Amino acid sequence: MNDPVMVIKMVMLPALWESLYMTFWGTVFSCILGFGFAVVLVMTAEDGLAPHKYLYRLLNVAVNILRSFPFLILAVTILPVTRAVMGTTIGKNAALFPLVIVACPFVARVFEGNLKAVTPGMIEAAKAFGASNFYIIFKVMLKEAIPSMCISVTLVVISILGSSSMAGALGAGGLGNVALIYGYQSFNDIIMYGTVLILVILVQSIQSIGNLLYSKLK
Amino acid sequence: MIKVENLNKSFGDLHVLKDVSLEVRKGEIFGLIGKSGEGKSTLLRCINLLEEKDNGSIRIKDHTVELKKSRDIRQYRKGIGMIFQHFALLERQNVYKNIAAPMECWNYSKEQIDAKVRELAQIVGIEDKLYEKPRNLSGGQRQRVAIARALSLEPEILLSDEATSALDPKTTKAILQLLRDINERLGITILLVTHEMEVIRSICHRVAIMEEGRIADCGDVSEIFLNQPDSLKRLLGDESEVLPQDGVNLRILFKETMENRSLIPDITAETRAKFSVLYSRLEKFRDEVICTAMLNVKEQDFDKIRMYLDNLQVNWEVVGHE
Ligand SMILES: Nc1ncnc2c1ncn2[C@@H]1O[C@H](COP(=O)(O)OP(=O)(O)OP(=O)(O)O)[C@@H](O)[C@H]1O
Ligand SMILES: [Mg+2]
Repeated sequence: MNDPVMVIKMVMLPALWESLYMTFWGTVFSCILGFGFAVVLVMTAEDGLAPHKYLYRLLNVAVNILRSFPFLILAVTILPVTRAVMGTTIGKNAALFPLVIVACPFVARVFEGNLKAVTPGMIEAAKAFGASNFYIIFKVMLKEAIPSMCISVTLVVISILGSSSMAGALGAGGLGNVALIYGYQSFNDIIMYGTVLILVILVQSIQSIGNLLYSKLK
Repeated sequence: MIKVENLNKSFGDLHVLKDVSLEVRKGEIFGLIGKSGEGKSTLLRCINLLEEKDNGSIRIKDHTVELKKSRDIRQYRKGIGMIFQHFALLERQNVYKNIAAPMECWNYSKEQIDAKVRELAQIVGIEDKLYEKPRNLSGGQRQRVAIARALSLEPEILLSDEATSALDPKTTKAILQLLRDINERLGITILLVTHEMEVIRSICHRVAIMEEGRIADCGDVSEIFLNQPDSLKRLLGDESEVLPQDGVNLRILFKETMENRSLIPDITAETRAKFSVLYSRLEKFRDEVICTAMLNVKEQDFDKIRMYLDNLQVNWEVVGHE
């Protein structure tokens, strides 16, 4: 394990791939689900388009509870559920489940904030020409909120990348796993700091892409 | 066209609209003026059901508006255009898309939308800005876009909530002229809310003055200004005028016509009374001109002058000094 080319080829690249895989699909699923919850939160809120006190409260509390779990604790807590749903608790696919469960309420909250930040005047104007709730949500709120949602997604990607590295400790594979097993536990500083460097570069690039998109979309 | 009767509206304990009744006639520009927080916006919002009234009735074209189903409410709102103080445009969409939005929402065909957008852009004078984003437009241009959007579904009624309050005086004039054009060319009935007297003076046919959630006075604009009801005076504020301490200070108000152009010299000629003219000014109301003059007359001449003015049916008023 001292030939750098071998290390990169056999360890780092597959781990990078696994990390990107978990981050990508984790983001996709949690954004889809989270957006759905955000829409329900925005609609059922007291000043929303279709206020519904109990549904709002229920969802609100659920989101808060899930958000108060640190990722590692939740991932361990729901291991049986993960096994039941995904058939296994090891590997990148199994790790997706807790990743999504943790990210989803977070996404719901940030998207909720993005949607609520749309100027009420625009919504009012749309109502005034007879727009349906569907039109207001998708053609007014969503369209107007897209740049800020883009920033939120950047945040979500980075946060899922972080969680996925932690999932490495639970046998999910990925860069976190490499840093722990090959780096930390085998006292191989090159691998450990190498993975850190890769993560830093990843986070930087994701943030830059996010910012670029934001300024393009605005 | 719009008939509101005994409308009441409260927010919690705050009774905002108190037995409001008013009638807007077909084809007119009706102004609703009042100080901030009197409930003017609330009244407009009740009319297009953005706010639910507590009780009272709203009739549009002799149909009582009593809608519950959201489909019916949307259909009803389709027939009433609305413009706002802060324009409320979609910031990320260009002008074309903004004007098209209501038609898109109501599933008009592409060709229909395109024709209408271009026609309206022409009417409001922004045909060269169709592909700009709102943030690259001036306030006046933004309001033009908003007006075009409000007209896109060909409403018979246009509600305007402080549409010129965020604009400078010159732009305000241009937008008011546009509203007047639209009213005359398309025959749209306009109900506008404002706190600026200038708006009422320059384009409204009739006006209602709102005070503490009630309609204090209502009538033709020039009549209201000639009669100077207390509500109007309160709205205009005390013009802390410097008036002479002796004699009687008499304010006269009249619509300027060919015959009474020389009213003031005529008073002297007819009554042989001597007095001084403290000031006199002409103000334009839509197309009429109202003259206000302040005279200082001697006590002994007051009766003669008063009778002369009454004979001519000229409004006058004694203005006291402190
Ligand atoms: N949704 C609401 N909830 C509670 N109070 C409200 C609401 N909307 C308006 N009000 C209150 O009702 C009163 C009248 O408001 P409204 O906006 O109709 O006044 P306005 O005459 O339009 O004033 P302005 O000239 O400042 O626009 C105000 O005291 C306001 O605080
Ligand atoms: Mg208002």
